Amino acid sequence: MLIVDFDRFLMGFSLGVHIPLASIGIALPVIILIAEYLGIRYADKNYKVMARRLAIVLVVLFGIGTASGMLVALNILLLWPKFMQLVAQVAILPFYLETFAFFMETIFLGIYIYSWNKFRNPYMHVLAGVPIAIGGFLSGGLITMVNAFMNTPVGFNIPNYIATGMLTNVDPLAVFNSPTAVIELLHVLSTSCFAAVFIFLAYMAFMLLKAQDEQKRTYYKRGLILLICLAIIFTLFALVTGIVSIATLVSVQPEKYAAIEGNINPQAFAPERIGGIPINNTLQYYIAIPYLQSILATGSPSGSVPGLSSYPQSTWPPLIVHLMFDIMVGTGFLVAGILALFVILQLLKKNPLDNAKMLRLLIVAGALAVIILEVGWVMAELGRQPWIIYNVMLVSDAANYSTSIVPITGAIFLFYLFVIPFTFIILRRIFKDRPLENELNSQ
Amino acid sequence: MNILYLINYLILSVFATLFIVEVGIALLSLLKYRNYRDEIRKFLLPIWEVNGTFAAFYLVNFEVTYPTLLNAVGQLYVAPLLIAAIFFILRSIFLVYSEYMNSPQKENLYMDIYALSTLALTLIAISVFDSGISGIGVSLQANLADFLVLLFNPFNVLMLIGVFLIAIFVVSSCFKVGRMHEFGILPLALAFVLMGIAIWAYLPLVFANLAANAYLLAFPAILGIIAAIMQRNMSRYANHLTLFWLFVSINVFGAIEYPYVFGDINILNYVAAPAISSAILWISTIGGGLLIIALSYLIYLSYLKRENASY
Repeated sequence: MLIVDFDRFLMGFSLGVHIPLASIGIALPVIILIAEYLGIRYADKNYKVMARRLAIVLVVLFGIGTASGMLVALNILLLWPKFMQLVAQVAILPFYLETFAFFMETIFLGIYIYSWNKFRNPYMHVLAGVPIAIGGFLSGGLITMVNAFMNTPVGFNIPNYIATGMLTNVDPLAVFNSPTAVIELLHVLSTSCFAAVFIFLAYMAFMLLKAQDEQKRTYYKRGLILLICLAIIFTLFALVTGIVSIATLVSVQPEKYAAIEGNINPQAFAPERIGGIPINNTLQYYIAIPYLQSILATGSPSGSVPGLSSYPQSTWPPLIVHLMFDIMVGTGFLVAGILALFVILQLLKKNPLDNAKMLRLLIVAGALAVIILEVGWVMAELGRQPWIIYNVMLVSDAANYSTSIVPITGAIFLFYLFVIPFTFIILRRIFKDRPLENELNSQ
Repeated sequence: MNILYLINYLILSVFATLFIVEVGIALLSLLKYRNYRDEIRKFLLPIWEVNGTFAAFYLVNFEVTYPTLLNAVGQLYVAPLLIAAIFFILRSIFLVYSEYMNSPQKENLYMDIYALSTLALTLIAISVFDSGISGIGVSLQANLADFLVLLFNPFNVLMLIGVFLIAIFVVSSCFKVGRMHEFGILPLALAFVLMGIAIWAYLPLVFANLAANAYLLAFPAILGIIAAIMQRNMSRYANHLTLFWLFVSINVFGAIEYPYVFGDINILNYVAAPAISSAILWISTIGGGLLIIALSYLIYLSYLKRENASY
């Protein structure tokens, strides 16, 4: 294993830990604020208690998320110093603005947590929490813009940089308008919220299955109703933005598109390939749905789609991304199907909240949503390989080759293996010490 | 003085001021957590996350301000900074875990882990900072670093002890710890002596411009003495003045060291190009202004209107 592979592993692993936490950091304030609003508006103690209990989860996960985010920020600088040197001169402004958005989240989280009983008008407390949600969305969106820059670099004279290594015609504002900035931002935010909402949906479903007395069951049912509504919204957003972002790749990252679709050769009337096994840089044993790929990518069955053979083999992304894409989409449809089933049962007045099988399916959907989030990110990043900045800088050219990275990678890996389960144990202990019925009765 | 350097150093000095108070609290927590639990939590809980955010803020501002220095920094400090990151995560999670523990034993244990992590983090962060200004333990030309030399050179050891002594002085002023307020001037005086020896012994590797800027040292010296006297007399404003003294001292340190890093390298050679610097200035000014307003409101709510908080 080369040092650059340790760099890759550490970066990927750190992001793999941070991304679900960051997703929760984006979506959870929205859930809390809606719950608190509903609690005040309808004088519903269930929603009031829910807001308070979820706020504890937010504080704990925010603390860990801040720390894991700091590790990611350091990793970007320390593992890829040449990349960061370029980004800092061309595309750093979203990162810089993000620190202020992050401050907004942090400061207003402090204000929100320490001011539950300090406003005469209770809606003012909800209002004090709104900047946390805004800060979360801004943070996620601004960081995504730098990722969009990595996929579709802008803001400097690229041919001159490749030829001479000199940065000329720098436009630091161009990063906000890179070809994939808007669609990537919308897709990342919607999928982050989608995954986070399903995590809490699964939690509520699990607790409802366990709950015996009616008071607790009412609480968890209220939570599920709120989360199902949000899940429908974010699933639809994720689906639409996902289709548009794949179609966008055809023009802006054709190699990534070709690898994701398993296209070795460019072709018209392209079928959608599902599954298959990558053998010797070709895809075999797949299921083909005629014309579907051309229709989805171009809007016409005769539309032409790119293939990997148009590019040097040295810059092909690994074909495994095709399988990852299939896992992501297939699992996504499964989760959407579970959600649709819930809605249909509700419309048929079959009381899905009292249906143990339906609740178990929601728990499965929660686990699958996290898989979708993680696989989606891995696919997106692997699909850009071997570039760290598409067509500008190779991962191997940006990497730090210090041998000290090897033991530290092991240490951080082991450290997270301890921290992640321990955090869940702590959260469980926190709520064990604060029985739900006590909090409901104290309202 | 270059405006981008000034902004970057001001961020560092606010962060360092808050963090040195946290170091003092970590020391106090390790020694006498039960005795000062309420005071410690009153300060720490609203501000610890802000401290963490300031660390990220400084990191990104550093990247924005000195883009062409980043490759060297990444190559030289990868090991200590990644280890520091582990301690940073430990610090954050165990503090937040302790916040919601009902069992006093568990709370004590988690606060001890928090405190030890904070001290270890401080040790590495100050060592990297000392190496960054003096160049001891690293070779910019060869892109090589010797972690052991970086940690255990006399300059760093003396500076580290000095910082920990200052943290004791600050925390004894803020929390009126036992009879420590009566002797607060001792750690402060000792810190001055040790740091003075370290700087004197390593001139002109550090403080190359000391001769021209020596008068600046009068500010922290006078303020420090007044703060120590006020602390001894239990003045209610001693803690405010102590924090102000700390902030001023860190800034004076930066002003005398300016513009050198790694011993004799002029940092202005690495400052961001004009194409991006005006955008940085605008964002820093507007964002910084909003940040001050929001922080002030947080402090007002956390310290001045705290009595009814239930979570």
